[in-house]
Amino acid sequence: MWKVLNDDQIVGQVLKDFGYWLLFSIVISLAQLWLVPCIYYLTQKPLTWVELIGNGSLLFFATTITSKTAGEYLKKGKSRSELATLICIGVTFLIVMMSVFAYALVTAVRIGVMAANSLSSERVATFSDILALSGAIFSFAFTLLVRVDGK
Amino acid sequence: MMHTLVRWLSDNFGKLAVLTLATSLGSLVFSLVHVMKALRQRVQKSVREAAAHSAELKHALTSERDQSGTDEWGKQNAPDAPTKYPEVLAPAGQGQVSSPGQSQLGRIGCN
Repeated sequence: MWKVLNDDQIVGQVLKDFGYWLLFSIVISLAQLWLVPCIYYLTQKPLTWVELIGNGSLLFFATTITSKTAGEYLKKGKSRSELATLICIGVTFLIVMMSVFAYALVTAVRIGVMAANSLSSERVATFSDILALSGAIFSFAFTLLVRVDGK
Repeated sequence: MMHTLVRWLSDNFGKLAVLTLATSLGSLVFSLVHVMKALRQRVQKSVREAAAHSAELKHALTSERDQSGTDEWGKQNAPDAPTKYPEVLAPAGQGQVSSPGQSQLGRIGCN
């Protein structure tokens, strides 16, 4: 592919791929986070960030985007190095396990296994934000690797 | 044991989440370094290919000049230079092509 396309075409192709990644993996995947506040704003109902993601919904996004990116990298990365593969698997495992554990805590509080005051919504929102951001960064990094290795 | 682990994890969950974020940032740095390395290799490969192509062209041009006996501007070299039609350069009477009154230089020019 390097030999067929010139540099401008490669840059254009990579930018187009990232446009698709941004649209489908971030904007549409997180439609609840901007569509629901828009509707609340239009109907003039108050909605805070903690109320929106305090139930741990963003943890699903972290798990989904991380596993999807790892699958795509392991499937398409033709000339991937062993170190990159190791990092991919390690970070995927870390993000997924952290998200799963966080959701387990949220569920335990909800069903009454843990005390309700041991895990506040603010705390859930904070670590949901951090894990979702981690997943998005990881997805960006390995999507870049897939695109560059693939060209 | 399990209860202690869960307790420790829930107590230190904030730190672990920050560690996860740092790890993903590390993977981003790794990815950027890898991409830069790949691009540099690609540029070096292009330069090498261009140099090889240039050398090949130069060699082809030189051998063409040697064959045709011309200099770099396409002019004929010295009369003893090899040419496509050596008989034209031969003195009158020895070669096949010669017309009375036509100089050797003129014949070369016609060639």
